[in-house]
Amino acid sequence: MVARQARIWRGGGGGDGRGDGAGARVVVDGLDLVVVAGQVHALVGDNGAGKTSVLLAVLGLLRSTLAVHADHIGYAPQRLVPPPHLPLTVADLCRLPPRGRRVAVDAALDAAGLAGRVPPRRALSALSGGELARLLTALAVLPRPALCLLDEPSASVDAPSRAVVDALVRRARDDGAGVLLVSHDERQVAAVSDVVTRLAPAEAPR
Amino acid sequence: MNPAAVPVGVVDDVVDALSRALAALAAAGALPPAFAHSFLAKALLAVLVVTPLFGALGVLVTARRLAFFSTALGQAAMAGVAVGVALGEPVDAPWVGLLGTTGLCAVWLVVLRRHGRLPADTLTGVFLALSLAAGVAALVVVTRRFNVHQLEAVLFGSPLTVRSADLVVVAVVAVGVAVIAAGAAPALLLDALDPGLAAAAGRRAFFAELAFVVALAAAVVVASRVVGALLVEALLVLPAATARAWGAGLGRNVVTAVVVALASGVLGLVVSAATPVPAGAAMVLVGGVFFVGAVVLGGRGR
Repeated sequence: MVARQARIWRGGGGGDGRGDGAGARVVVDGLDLVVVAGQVHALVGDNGAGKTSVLLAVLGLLRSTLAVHADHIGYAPQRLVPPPHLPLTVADLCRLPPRGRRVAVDAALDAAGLAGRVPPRRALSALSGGELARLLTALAVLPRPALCLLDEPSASVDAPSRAVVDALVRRARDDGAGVLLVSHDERQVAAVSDVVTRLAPAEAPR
Repeated sequence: MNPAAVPVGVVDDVVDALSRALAALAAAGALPPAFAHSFLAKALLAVLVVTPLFGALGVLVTARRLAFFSTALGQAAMAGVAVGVALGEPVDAPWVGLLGTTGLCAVWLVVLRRHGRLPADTLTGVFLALSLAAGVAALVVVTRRFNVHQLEAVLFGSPLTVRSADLVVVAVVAVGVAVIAAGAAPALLLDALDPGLAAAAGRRAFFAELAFVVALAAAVVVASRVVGALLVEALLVLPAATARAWGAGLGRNVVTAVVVALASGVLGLVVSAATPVPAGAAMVLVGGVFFVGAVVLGGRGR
């Protein structure tokens, strides 16, 4: 994935704020970013600098000038809170991606360090924040994507389990993925990243 | 030859066999005496087709928070009748007007919900209010008279006067809708959890939602002609809510919702045959009993 002086918009329209309505504002501007296969590229910066916006733009959920050429993207969102009205369990979540990008539920729980502690039939809304973050990271990494987007994978993970997350990040890199890691965890950035890009906040809205 | 003639003939045979069986059960005292009449066999057949479909669809509808949206679609049926009549269709079977109008309304609402500046439920509420008023106004203008039975037919349907041809239409639409819903479900569920997860998985949530909502509109409209818009809305929400209150698990929720919907429909029909309670109300009340039971007894593994 290569970005040259890329620009990302957000807002404009009350729906999902894709940034293609009137009133959209530039949240990231002049972004230079090269994510190489087999490398962990950490994206750091203050709150509001647009780190998550970069990931959403790569996924095509925000309007941007990015050109992404990756067939298979792995993604772990930050601090996901499953709506309680969704009936999904851990096992259901593992079955929802298309064939070829699915992970057996036992393998996912094992890689997330949750085997024996979280049953496959546990509702997603009944998982703790840290358990869900580890599961989502495992599901993003295990199908061996070409590009792996991880948004604060250890933000709500307790200290003893952070090693599990670090191991998953290294595993994605060792499997040949280009890993784009958004993190506030300086320890994690120092431990796993090969390249670091710091985002400065965008200038005043235009 | 009318292409619908063959399936209608088959449906008539099924209805005959079913009504003979029901009449025998009624004579033996196993069912209320009203089951000796053949119209209850047709009503039961309609219930057997419609309730499992809406029970299963309800799981997706509640997961996507589309319950209110479905209500709006059911009421847009009124405008659909007017459009059909204006196009020269018979007032008791204006299928092109009904399916075309509600399908277009569904697409328009999905696009507005995604790109509009107002929250989705506000938009749906505005649409709900306008669609019923516009429908009544258009119907009176087109037919040049106000006939309260047309409003009543859309809202309450007429399960006891179902015709064999209606049953064929309902069954064909039910199969098509079930296939579309099953195909759209993974994208819709992943997207409901997190739009990024759906995008990363290559699931096209927007197109899945368009396909699902248009199919849902067709199902709601066709079933409303038989069992009424109010019962359709109840069937979309009550069984799915019962299943979710009982526990988690996608497959388990679908199975539970289908069973609860079927049981509500069949038991409701039996209750209404034995008492003065109308069929639709009896079905909803039976569903309510299941829901309360699930709320009180369920909740394991949530």
